[in-house]
Amino acid sequence: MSLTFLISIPLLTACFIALLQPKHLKIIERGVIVSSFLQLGFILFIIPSVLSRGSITGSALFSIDALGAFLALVIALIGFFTSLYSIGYFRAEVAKEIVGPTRVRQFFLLLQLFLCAMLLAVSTINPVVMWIAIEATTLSTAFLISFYNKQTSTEAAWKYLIINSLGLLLGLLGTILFVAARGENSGALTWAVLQNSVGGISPAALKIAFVFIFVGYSTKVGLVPFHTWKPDTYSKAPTPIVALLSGVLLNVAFFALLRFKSVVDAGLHSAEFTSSFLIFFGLVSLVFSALLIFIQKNYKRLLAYSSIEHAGILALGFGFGGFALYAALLHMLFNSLAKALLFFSAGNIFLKYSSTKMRNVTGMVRVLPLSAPIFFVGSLAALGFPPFGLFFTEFMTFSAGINDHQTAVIIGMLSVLVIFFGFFKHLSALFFGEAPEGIAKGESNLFTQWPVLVLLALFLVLSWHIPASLDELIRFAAHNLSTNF
Amino acid sequence: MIENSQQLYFFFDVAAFIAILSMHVVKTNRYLIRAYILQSFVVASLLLLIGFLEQEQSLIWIGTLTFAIKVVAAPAFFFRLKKRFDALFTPNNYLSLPLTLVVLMFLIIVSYSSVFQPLYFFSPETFGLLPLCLAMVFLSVFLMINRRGAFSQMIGILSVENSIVLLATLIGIKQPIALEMGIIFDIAIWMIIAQVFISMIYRQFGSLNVTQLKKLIEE
Repeated sequence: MSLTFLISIPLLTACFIALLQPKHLKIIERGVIVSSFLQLGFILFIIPSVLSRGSITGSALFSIDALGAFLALVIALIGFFTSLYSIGYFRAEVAKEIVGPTRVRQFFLLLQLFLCAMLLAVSTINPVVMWIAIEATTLSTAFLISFYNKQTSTEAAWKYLIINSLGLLLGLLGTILFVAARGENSGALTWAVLQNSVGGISPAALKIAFVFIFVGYSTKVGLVPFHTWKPDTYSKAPTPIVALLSGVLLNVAFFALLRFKSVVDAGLHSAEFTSSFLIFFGLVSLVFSALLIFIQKNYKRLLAYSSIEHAGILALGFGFGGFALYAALLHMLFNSLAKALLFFSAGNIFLKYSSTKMRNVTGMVRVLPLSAPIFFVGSLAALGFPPFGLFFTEFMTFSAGINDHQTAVIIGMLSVLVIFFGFFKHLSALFFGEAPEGIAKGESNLFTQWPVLVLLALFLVLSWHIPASLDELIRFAAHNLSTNF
Repeated sequence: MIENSQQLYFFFDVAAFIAILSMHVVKTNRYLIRAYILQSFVVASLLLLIGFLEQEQSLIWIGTLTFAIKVVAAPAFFFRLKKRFDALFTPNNYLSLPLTLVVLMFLIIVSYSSVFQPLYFFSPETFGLLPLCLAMVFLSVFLMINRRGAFSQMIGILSVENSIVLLATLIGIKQPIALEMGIIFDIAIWMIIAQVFISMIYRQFGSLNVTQLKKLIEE
């Protein structure tokens, strides 16, 4: 019942928005705020129950354990800030006549469906339902990516649709193979049932099934070489959506990978095979990002490659295992916060300069007295600069892997260093110099400022102090991931 | 379910395989859609057949729904789209036909190779059918890669879905209902997507040839 309520909130909000006219935009905005607040409040409410009982079961299809609760918290938290920021962002775009109230209404409706699909994916214990939910995220975001109805956004959306749909279908093929192993009398299809039934499968068959799963969900994560949709999508989609794609959907896709990883590890009685996949592709993603970061000319594409970098670090962490699992889960949280911070401030930059090309954005520090420093701070945070949380999680990840995977750690650290210098080179060009003519100084409306400020404050606080219950939740989730066979 | 009907299931498998093969060689979208109809008909018929053989009412309902959506509604929708944009529908390939056939042959050989032999574990009774189903998946993926039309890419996606449902049914998945409902949901959404995106692409690019979609470059 309680989990059904969690998924119903965004769904009911979408229905509510669908019933309203575009002229009722203010009511829609208030509805979105209330909805996102309820989602966040509900997740915070159920976390103590998850910690005390291990999981909360809603029905045969829905149950949320520590990992699911943690990811639901990240979804609700970033969703909350995204909803608030979107209000200000689109008010500014409506004022500039870039979009009209009808499109904004469509945006909020699709945003709720997107959030609903992600919450469904992390709260179900049925792999097929999880696949349906993740496919639903692809379909809802496709319309959001083509939001501006231009050639470039249509192209980006089509590319996103085709590549992700194909990837997820290969993931479905892998899911089918796992489901086939279940046997006749195993009851409802759940992760626990899958884990108990894979022991009798031939190891080679299990590996092939995992390869399909890995290809499928890595496409969604954006690991190299399945990442080709990312730079185009990030550069053309509305900024609030990109914040969710980069900071939240990536985590949901990883969630799917980790669930199947647990099943395969149990079947093979070893994590070596799945970990080697994660480490290899994580490393390739890091190196690839490092190679391409220098030649970027579009700041949103730059952030896309940063997202690929962090997907690579997460893959390394989950591949190394052990203590790195805790580090990787914490990295998920900090990466989500940092990416939201970066993309929101990038959104403010776009509202001011009306361009995503870096050559058109100069003298930011004079033109945007709030967003520019926040973008700078967010960049430092995303680059793993101390004292931000990502520095600690990257350090913990590499420390955990140094004994058994020295080469991988050295290559990873060198890549991170190269990315740091490359990103910084672009930052200095953005910040200093003379502002272009005709660009007025000052920020947009309040809704584009204070969510970013609060997010920054939250990020700084969490970098230094993780609340005990949150820390326990992450440790619980890491423990579940590490002791599944 | 499988033991007494292997030859019949093999017939269905081959019919679906021929449908996918023909998708690669046909020159017009009319025949592309007809090939998809054939493939969907095979899938729906198989679901209905298994439902009747096993006296599973839910499977009969799913088979009927599959028939209604995949064999009737979706193709009718695609024919309407084709008619609306017929002037510029030219589903030419990146590779010539002989090269295309060589690649298809290669993909079929890979499906039957020892690489995927461990998968026979999942269905020892129908091990002869599994490589053919896998080949159908790979051929459908190649259809998406090789064809220049956005329309063809879409049919390719739906063809992959059909191939996966066929594979799931033939290896005896005991819960094809959830799977098929998911696929039907997917197709319904794809019909909406097709309506919106095909119109947008045609309006903005003047063509459904995806090689025209090159406004995005590494800026």
